[in-house]
Amino acid sequence: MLISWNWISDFVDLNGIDPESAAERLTMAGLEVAGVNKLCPESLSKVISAQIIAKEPHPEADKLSLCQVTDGQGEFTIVCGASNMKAGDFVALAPLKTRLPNGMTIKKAKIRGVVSIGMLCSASEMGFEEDSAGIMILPENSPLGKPVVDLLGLQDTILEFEITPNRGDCLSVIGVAREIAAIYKRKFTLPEISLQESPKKSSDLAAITISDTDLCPRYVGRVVNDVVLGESPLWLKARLKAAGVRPISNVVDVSNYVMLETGQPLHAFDLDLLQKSQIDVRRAGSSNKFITLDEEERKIDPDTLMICDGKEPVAIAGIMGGLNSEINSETKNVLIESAFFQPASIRRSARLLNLSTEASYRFERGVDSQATARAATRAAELLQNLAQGKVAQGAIDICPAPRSMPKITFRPAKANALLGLELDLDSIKDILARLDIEIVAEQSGTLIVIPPAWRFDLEREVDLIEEVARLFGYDRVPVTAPTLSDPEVKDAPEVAALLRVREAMQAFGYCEAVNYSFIDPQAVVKLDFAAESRFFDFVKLKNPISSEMAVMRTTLLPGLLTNLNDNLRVNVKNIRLFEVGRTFFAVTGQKQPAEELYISGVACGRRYHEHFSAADETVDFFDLKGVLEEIASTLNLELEFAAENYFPCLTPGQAAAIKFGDLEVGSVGQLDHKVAAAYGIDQDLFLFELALKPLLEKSAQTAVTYQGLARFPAVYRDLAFLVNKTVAAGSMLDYMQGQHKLLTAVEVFDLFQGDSLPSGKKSLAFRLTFQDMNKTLTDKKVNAIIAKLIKGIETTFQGEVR
Amino acid sequence: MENRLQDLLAKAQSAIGKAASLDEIETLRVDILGRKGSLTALLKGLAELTAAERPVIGKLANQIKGQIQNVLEEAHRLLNDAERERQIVAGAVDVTLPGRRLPLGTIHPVTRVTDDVCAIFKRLGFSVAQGPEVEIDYYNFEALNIPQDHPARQMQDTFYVADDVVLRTHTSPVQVRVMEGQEPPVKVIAPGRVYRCDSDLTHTPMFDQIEGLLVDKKVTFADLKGILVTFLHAFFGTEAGVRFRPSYFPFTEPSAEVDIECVMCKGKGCRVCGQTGWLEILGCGMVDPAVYKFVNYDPEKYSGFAFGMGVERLAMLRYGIDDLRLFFANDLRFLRQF
Repeated sequence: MLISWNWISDFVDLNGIDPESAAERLTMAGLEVAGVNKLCPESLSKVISAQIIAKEPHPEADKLSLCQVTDGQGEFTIVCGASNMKAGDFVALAPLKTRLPNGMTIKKAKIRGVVSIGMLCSASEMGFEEDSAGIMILPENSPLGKPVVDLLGLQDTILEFEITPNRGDCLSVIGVAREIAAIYKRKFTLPEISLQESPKKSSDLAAITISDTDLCPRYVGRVVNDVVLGESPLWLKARLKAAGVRPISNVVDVSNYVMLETGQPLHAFDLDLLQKSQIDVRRAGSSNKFITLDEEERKIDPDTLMICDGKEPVAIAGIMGGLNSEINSETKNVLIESAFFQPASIRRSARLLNLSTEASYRFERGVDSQATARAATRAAELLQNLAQGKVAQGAIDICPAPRSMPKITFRPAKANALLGLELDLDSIKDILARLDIEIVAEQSGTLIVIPPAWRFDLEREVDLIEEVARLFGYDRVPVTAPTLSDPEVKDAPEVAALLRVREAMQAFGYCEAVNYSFIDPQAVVKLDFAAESRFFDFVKLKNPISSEMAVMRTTLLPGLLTNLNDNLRVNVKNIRLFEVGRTFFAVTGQKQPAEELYISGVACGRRYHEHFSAADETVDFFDLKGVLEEIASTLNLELEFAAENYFPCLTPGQAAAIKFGDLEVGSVGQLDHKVAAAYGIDQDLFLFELALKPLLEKSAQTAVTYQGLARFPAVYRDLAFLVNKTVAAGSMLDYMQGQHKLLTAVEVFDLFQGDSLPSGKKSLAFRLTFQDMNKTLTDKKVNAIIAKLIKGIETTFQGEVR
Repeated sequence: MENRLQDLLAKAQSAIGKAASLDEIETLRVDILGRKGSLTALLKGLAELTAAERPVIGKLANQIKGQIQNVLEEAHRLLNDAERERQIVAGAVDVTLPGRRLPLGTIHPVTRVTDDVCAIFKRLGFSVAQGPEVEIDYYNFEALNIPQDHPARQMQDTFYVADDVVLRTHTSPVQVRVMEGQEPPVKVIAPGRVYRCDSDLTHTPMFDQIEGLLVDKKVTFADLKGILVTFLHAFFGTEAGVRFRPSYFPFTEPSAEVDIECVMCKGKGCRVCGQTGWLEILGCGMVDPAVYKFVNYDPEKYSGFAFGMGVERLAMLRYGIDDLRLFFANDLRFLRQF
């Protein structure tokens, strides 16, 4: 909201206060001022008043004239293209080097042989009007040599406010003036309104009824006859423009002006267009179409409050007028509407219509129900003064349900306790008085108060406590440390476990990504999941930003694959990315979906960082499997990998299912080339996705227990077996590890499948560690275990020791 | 005999002087001093000398043997040094070549900032709490004192999943869920992802917030100031000015916006702070009694405060990031900087 500083001074004495410091004080009192700007640019002050001494035609050009002007000090010859001036007129002179708002800078110029020193300005050249015919003629006997902006009262500052929704009362000049008065402890005054009413009575010229008084507790109408439509005076247009409102005509401008000034939205009807000169305020009753004055046809809900004439609706109450009763160039007689509509009803209707106007914005937040009549009278006064209107006698004021203000019990002790202050009663009473909060009773330190009618946000004790804090100054409240009755931190153990997972990913060189939670459902289709799989149990947004962000993700892969492709496109080749985030699965019969925590990783490019000595190897399956094994290890858990394929998007033979106990927790492998191509990627890339929740929960329950270090030497033996290629190394490891308690570790240290071996065979070499915690092992003992082990491998795996 | 010894010495010196390798030195040693060496052979002639000559020549022979040994040792030492020198030169590396790195990955700036903020509040006694991102209208709005058609709903453009199910527009519903689940004292910090139907240069449809809630006996607005000033000074690592100014949130009363003196220009006014010298950092206030009503807390017995802040905003200020969209583009050239 933009408000003119000069306008505020109509209601409160601003002497000695500069707009910048007021902006600061207002901001610190809760009326945030986002900007303080001059109405006219500084450079415009160079344009001064001057008088034309003589005017002659230009000797060389018919359409130009030569003006001899004086600014009271010197005389200048100016070549002028306009023709609306005559000798003796007072005009606006832009001397040499003046920069005008349109960007033009005045220079000495020879025009058809005559040197022109300066320029006579039009209103549009000075930025006062959109268009203007001819140069600006100033009032008779204007003092000479003075800045034109000063003479016209346009030397003004505009404050830009960001008003919070609770302070509807501050959506006006008067509201802001009241705040300034309260902050600076100055007097707020409403100027007298002076009307010369005609003998005709308003009540004889129009009839007003309210059918639905629950939605309209007060409706005031005022008739103004014989208005002469025209342009508003410059000062009024300047104030409107300062507020960001486009001037239209004096009648329309007046209703906007009064709304900006008082916060009371008004509507001006052409009285002659109202059937039977009647107004009734009632619900639409049935679903109807209505054309608003912006020429849009709108669907009206039956509960929407309408303003109707003797025949049909003429306005949507509090939101927008109708095309059928709009002020037009023929308008003579005007009915001014000033009403109080129920805020909740206006909010509802505006939402259903998806229409927010300056009026609805104010009605939704509440307008002062005791200022309804004054606003109408103020508009009448302006129409009388600016449009030669004849104001009919009296107002039609229908007030079936006067709004009563709440009585609030206010305990100063409670205020001090909540704020951490020790204010005495007098200081608190002073603050309440400055805010026009009336104290109606006082008993043993408790006050009964009534807030002013314009404050819709003051209903409870706590609301008044905020007022006390606000005017006392938040910055003067001390800074203290709370005394806690229970200072113990009880973080869920999963929080620490997740931190370790992230650290492990970081150690493996993976960078963490964060993607939007919404995805394109097509991105999941591209991953080839079976149509009946849970990856299609989408949570759909009713109002997505775009079809690419239409559903909540069921997998993190689309985001990471897109990131990988984006990075390849900017020539980043060696990529390791991971993301930890929630996935969402709709659950039948439940309002909320299952939200599950997943971790996914993608990798492509070199295995090792670029180095002159590094092997030129690329990432493969075992790089990712190793990452997963270390994640498990840092959580003190074990994962199993099976040659199954949960993810159809992975290349068969290069993919594994990840199992955790009985749970299927994810997949790891190479992305199938076809699927990669669908994402625009033409690289070998590997990925994994792993459900974290079961792992973190289990890990949180698993305490690390120290194992004693061996005091006797371990015995190491290497064994190689020739087995069929189809035998899984993992199954041989599992078998051996269970064979003897002294065999404490088995590792695969070599895999060979060359031509020198019989076809269909491979050689697997194992390193066996034997350890007795109580004594030194003998060869005899170890050999006996090994002999038994070899036999076992021979029968179980048809392995042949090499 | 004496001449022959002197002659031997001279030849030996000359030969050793010409030796170019340790092997040649060894060969010479054997040739001269070995069991079958030339000196040994010469000394066998001592027996033929007279008794008078024998001690004189014997002494001379020992001297010469000693001299040859010295020369051999010296030559050996020189060659040894030269050999070592050669090895050093051959083995030297260019220490200015890059080291062999196993580069660490990086943690996303949003996560980093979230972790840091949570760590500070943990020191102040807060525990981490979480809640669903797909939230029921009741928790996201109603129980936070934002009824249907309330103007405050317009402050937050909401994504809807169903008529009464939304993507949470703030982390505040966690407050309600926590209070529903326990009696005071409550001290939680709730980081999480939130969503608003808004996408332009300065808004992303998803972003991150951190919510805090403290409810106990006798908690005051002054305490709220104390906790937040402590936090801001710890997070930004400065003693910069902090100001509280009145604002409005439906679920707190009194409410405040908190500004910190611009960390870029130290309060002088710059582009980042819009020339004001202040940066809006978080919103906060005393929990509104209306909220206590929803969770059955007695506002006469307990009081407390809540606060919320945007993680991306904190990250932008801490790292000087000027484009919000970078957080979700996942460009490695960006991610690797953290």
